[in-house]
Amino acid sequence: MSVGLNYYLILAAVLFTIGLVGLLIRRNVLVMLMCVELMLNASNLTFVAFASKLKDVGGQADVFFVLVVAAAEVVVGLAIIVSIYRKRLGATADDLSSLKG
Amino acid sequence: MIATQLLLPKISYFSILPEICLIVGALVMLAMTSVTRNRITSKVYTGITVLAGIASIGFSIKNYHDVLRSGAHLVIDKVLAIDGFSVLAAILVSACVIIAAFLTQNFVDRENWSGPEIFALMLLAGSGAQFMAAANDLIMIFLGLEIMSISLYVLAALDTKRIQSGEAALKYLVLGGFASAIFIYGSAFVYGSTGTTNLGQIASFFATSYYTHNGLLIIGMVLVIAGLGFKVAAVPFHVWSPDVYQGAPSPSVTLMSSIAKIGGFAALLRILMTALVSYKADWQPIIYILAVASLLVGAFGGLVQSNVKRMLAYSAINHSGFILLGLVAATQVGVSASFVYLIAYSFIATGVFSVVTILGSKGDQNHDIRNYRGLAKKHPYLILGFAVLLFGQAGIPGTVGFIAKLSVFEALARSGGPGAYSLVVVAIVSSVISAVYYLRVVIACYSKPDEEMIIPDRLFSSSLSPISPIQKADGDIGQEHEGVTLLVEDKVENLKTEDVDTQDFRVGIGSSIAVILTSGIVVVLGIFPNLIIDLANHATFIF
Repeated sequence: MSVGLNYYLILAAVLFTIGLVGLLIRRNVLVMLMCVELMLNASNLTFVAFASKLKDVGGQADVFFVLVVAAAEVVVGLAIIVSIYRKRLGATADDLSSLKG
Repeated sequence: MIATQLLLPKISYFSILPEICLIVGALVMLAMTSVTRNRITSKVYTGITVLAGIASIGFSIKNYHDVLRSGAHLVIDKVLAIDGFSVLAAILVSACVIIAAFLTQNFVDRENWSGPEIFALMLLAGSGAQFMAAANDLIMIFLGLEIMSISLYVLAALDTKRIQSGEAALKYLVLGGFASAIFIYGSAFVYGSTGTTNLGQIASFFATSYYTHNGLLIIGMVLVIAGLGFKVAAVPFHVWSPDVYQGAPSPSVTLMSSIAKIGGFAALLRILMTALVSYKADWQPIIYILAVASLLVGAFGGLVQSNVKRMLAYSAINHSGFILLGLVAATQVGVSASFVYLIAYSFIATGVFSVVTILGSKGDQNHDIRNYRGLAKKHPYLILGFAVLLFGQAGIPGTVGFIAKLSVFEALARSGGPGAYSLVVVAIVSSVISAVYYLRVVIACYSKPDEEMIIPDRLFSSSLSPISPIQKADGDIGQEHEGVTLLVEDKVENLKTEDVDTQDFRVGIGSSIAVILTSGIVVVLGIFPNLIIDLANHATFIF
């Protein structure tokens, strides 16, 4: 018995929503970065699900590009967090409040 | 079964030489620094950056002649389009990188930065924007977007001495990553409903098949528009931009304000005007709302700012609204008009931020409008250029800003869509309102240092003074919780910068070149508008 396309899409939508909500309500920047990853992986799952439904290898290849980009983004994100930690202990979103107007 | 054989496309390197030039320039600088023992001066880095930019422009002009002679074509398995729009956008991006490089040379000397990072990242960001402008495939747009954005995140974080720089970078990164995720999720839906990510094939799919289940497609389209809306800072996706503009090092903002808009709008225009043009009736209302919101928030938000960089962020939001007007028109004339506006805006924005970088003086902190008082007496020529550029932003006749605004109004009015005329009225009103804050800066510069300004620093004095701990929240990450206080160290830092004489600085040669170039372009194109209007008429998409 195979699992239908809709189940994959719903799972992906749930993952995406968890990422989206997490990004909006969590104050820890590391968790926020993880939420972005979750959103990117939800789109990967959507791509793969559609690719197998459409029997098209293109959609599966697209996932590699998204994975590479996600990795690059995390590298830069962590580097920026480290550079902030050096200046100030604590990098939650509430500590980052010197810019406003 | 899914076919297991992957066929590699033929890569025509000649078509992507403009991008390759910029990337090679960046790699050469990084390699040079690691092999030589002596410290390389910033002049060398600037030279390489400018050379790479000029080479890129040269190859783009060659591509442009190819397009004029033998027509637009698709290369590398139809992933990149070499057409009038992509080639002209590439030239514009390289020009902005060159101007920013001149400016950065003085900036890094002033701040005692060493190393090629800022120059290399500028070139890489430029190549990303060029890829975005040429991309004819949703995945390629995503890759170009990320090449550009990740470079810009690091550019925002480069000033490690100031905590604000890291904060700006982190906000930009988190919200930028969020936007990218939304964009790629939308692309997945478009792929699922059409079976391809290629923009040309999506268009031909709609032309050949009668498509009934368009729920998925509409979701995908909305998400793609939202993702790109973040990148061009269109309201309601703009909350990151004032913080990032204020905190990031000024030369980075110079680049951010110009090439991120060029890349983002190029991608948005191409997706909507080629792939999804048959769904015009569905996306036009969305763009209409984005345009109205950007025009109004940009105009009113800027009025209450006392930090000039923050004010210019709202001005950039306002300009996004104007560029969207060409897209609301959804005609070829509209695309050309948007392109005219992009050309005008990117030169004006690079110019204005060049001056702001110079006025920032050592430490890059002197951005309060009160410190601008009396500058005209000490630096008459610099402030003259500044005034010209700000008049350009306001769209005063005789500058290219006027031509740009006129062309989007004309395109929108001529399209005659529902609500087109009322949108023109909103746009004109918003340009009048935004003119107030541009002129406020000019008046500040030309007033005497001790004199009270005709227009006060803060138009609504109910909001507290700029260094007060509790400030008027405008909805960025840190402000969702009430009662967030500034840390004491930041307050002390702010107070310190006001004591020293911040108007005593030297304008370097590089910065002078940047300001003279941009203000010259603004005036010359304002007097001879045919130069850009003719060019923009060639800025068509392959279809």
